[in-house]
Amino acid sequence: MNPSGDKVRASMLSRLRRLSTPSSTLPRFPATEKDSEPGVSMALKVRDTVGDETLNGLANELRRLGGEFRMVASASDLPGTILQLARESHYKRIAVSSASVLDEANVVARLHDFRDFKIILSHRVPLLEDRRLDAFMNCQLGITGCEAVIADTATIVLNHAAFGGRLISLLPECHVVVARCSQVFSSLEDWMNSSGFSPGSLPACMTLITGPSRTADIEKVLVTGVHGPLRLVLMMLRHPA
Amino acid sequence: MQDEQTTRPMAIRFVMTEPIDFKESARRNLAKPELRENLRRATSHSLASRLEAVSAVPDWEDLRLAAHAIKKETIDHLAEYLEQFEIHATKAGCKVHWAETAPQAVECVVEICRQAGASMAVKAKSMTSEELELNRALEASGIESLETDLGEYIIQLAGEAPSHITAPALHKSRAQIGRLFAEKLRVPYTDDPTRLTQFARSALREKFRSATVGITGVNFAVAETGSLVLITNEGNGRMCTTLPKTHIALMGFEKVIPRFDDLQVFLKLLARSATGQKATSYVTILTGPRRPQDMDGPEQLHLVILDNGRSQLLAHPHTREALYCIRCGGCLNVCPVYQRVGGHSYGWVYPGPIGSVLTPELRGIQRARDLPFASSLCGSCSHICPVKIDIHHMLLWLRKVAVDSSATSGWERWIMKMFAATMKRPRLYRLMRRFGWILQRAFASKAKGLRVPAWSLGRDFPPLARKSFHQLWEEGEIR
Repeated sequence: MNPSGDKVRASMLSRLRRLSTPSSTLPRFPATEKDSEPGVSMALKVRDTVGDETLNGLANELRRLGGEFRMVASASDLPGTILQLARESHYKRIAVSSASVLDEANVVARLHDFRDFKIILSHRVPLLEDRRLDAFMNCQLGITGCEAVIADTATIVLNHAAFGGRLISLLPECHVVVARCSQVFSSLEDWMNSSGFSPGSLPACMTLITGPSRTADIEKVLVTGVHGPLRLVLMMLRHPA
Repeated sequence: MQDEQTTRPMAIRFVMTEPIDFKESARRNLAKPELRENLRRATSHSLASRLEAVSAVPDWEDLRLAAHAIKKETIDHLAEYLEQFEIHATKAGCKVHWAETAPQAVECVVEICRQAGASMAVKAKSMTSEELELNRALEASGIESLETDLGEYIIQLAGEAPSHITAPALHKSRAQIGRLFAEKLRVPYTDDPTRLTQFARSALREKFRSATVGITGVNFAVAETGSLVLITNEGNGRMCTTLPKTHIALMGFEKVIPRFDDLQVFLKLLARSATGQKATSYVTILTGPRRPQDMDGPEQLHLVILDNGRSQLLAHPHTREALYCIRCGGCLNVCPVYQRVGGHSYGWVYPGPIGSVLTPELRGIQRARDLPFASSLCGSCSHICPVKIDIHHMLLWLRKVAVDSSATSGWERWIMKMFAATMKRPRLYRLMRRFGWILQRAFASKAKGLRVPAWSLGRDFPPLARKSFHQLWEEGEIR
């Protein structure tokens, strides 16, 4: 910071201090000493899986928002479900992030078996800015895992450090999120209060995604698909592999 | 509060060229039937969807109370929370800049753009940047500044200013937008919102790609973690904070909140109040720029913390609560005045009831003395406010400020003094009433009652009755 910047800062803060009430009763929060661990998904506490009622509510809410919900019986059915979606929609270029749920289901290897797709692995895409942009701009489908799913608002919590960066869930026209039932929380409070989540270990970027991108800027008419994905598909794995 | 001298900070004002003539611009806008139709459609739609979303939350009032309490705690200890925020944000790699005035903030942004070698910046919607007139300043420095929110994009193409906090192009109809796109983007005319949105999406994709700088506002800054929270529906906020190499965020100093957990309260309130959604499509939580292990994201993150007259609000106990505002636009939609005159009548970036509080305080009462009067004082704004800001009482207080600042004529003050004297003395009151009744016969036309200039343009001025209600009551003529 340059010297004049320091002066501005000092004068602003001293004025604010003068104008606000004295701070003797200020509740202090403990300084967060835990260092962040980017790239590592925040571990979730082992907890009871939510019931069918919650899952139905989640599915309905997501559909109401213009998203799609698909229940997948087991991990071994996952590649087939993705394949079917890609074929129906004539998606040719597919980006896949590294996520344990996708690795376990062997999604990449299974998709490779079909030679009509070009598979792009998010962690192998060159880090050169332009080529990386190109790679994702040309993809029709981006597949990621997620941190958690919040049932009452149909919100997907994405930690971009853990799931292949920011572009894979932003640029392709369709974003597929794969989640396990054990990752579903009934509400935002429920997730935030869960011991697995700590504000001290926030990644550089995290997004709470609720439905496909949307606007109502023209005469309040709802249009889905603006700058972000046009489609959002949540694939829910009922059973672990 | 401390004594009068210390509560008045030095006047920090962005130079505004002309005083706002609300009455004149409101009159002009009231005469536009298409504008009134657009406003009616948009505000009634927003109110209906908000009501639906809010009624589904049984503890809505508790949430409002909680939000009010959190904001109060923050604003009462602003310096501490801002320092706390700065420590954590800096630790995460964010460069924090401070600006007392709009020109300082603009200079800071231009300098960052220069260092980044930017010829173009993509912008997400930010009221703070409108306040700074940042686009104009960037263009003057040879940097193209492109709005990417659909509503803002539309009005930038039209060369206009936003007319609403959350829906900037609400004053335009689909046909008007279709004609605009056909002319400026050279696309075939259509009035289909989906097609129009697709045109904007493809026109802006290439721009996102080539921009070196992304500029956004901030919805909340979390002191505990140093995180910036951005809330958008279209995804342009995510694009602006992902594709360009440098991200510049702008915020007024009141945007800080103490804890990450506080977001639970504000996310619920903001989405429902602003757009009637349970949750906004994208809540982006940014803690510093990209890290060494990250695969993408901006290399640099700059945050400009702005005063620009806000300490004026902080200094007055009567208006301090206006700093609690989370910019949902709810008070605009519900205001009977806004619904009819539209955002442009208010003359500056913040329209509606909250704008009528912010503008006189941020830019000086002398420049905006009509605004506190641009209200029916019905209280709908305070009632709808998700953080329980007592907006209409602030407007009432600002009316007093406007009057005290000798902005009223000596004639008007004399009349009010006489009125007060009469109202305080029942006998004098009765006498004056009697006197008025006799006097009016010289002026009132037989059929139409009195004609008073200005007043009679919009309403009747019924003549005084022969007997007062009081008399009729005493004589038993009414029961």
